[in-house]
Amino acid sequence: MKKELSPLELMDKFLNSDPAYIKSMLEEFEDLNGEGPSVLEYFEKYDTAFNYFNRYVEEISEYECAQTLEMDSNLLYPNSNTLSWLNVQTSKKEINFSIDDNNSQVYPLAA
Amino acid sequence: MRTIGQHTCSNDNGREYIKENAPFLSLKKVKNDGKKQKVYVPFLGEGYYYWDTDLEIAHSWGVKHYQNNYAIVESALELTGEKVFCDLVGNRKHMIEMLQLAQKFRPDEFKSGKLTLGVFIQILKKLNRTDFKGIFPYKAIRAVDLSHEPPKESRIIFAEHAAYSYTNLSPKLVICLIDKNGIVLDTDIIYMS
Repeated sequence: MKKELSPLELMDKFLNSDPAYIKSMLEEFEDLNGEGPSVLEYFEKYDTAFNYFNRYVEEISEYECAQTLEMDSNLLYPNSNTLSWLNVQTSKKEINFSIDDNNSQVYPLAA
Repeated sequence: MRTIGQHTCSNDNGREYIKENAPFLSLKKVKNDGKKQKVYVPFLGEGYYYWDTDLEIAHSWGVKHYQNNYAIVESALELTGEKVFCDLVGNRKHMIEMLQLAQKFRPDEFKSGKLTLGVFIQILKKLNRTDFKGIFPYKAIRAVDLSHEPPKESRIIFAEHAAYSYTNLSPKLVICLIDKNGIVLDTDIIYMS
């Protein structure tokens, strides 16, 4: 009886296929992943959320931000663990942030 | 496992239409900002989306995304079977497998955060449909959305001597059905704005 390959073995098999075949299979997805610096690269560069937001607001044209921003823009906490969503597209014009006196909370304002 | 899911949708087409057709398929969207075209893939790829037993989030989604013009459909969901339900919330084997698949597929893009789960799931589904049957056999996926720190009302600390360690009793659990047949047992409209 033929052994059933595990998902990882199937992935190996795919990745070891003819490059032209791999390309044809993945072509439609190539444009879907994020462009420019990644979220992690961004976090590594700016280690606090406050800096992150400042830079984010300043450099939004360079760094496209997060897909869930439009989905869920209620109160945000400047904790880098919670900001991983800041990686999709929106534009500088669409978002403004207000930061409270202690720099402890960040509030997105209506566009 | 059986659970109750809440599906939020527009109420534009009226009660009868929703009753006949819900849940509705969430597809990738193409947006053009004038400069370039961008494709948005749903969080867990294309499919029928539910919140896992969370009416509150279903309402907030409707207010936000449908400008308060929405309906909530509730369904009993049969999420049973190792190869039917990919549970990225409660099944460590599935989590490890997804992690290893993503790391193997595009190690650099995964490490840098550029490989998104939604796109990766779309790729796995395509491979499963073609020459790599078994790589992603599932009809449903569940994951937790960790985009926000949990509010204090839903946290409980584990022990007094370690108050920084807590668990969240109201996580945002997203369910995506790739194939609703055999999963959606019954459906009722429980709210219309």
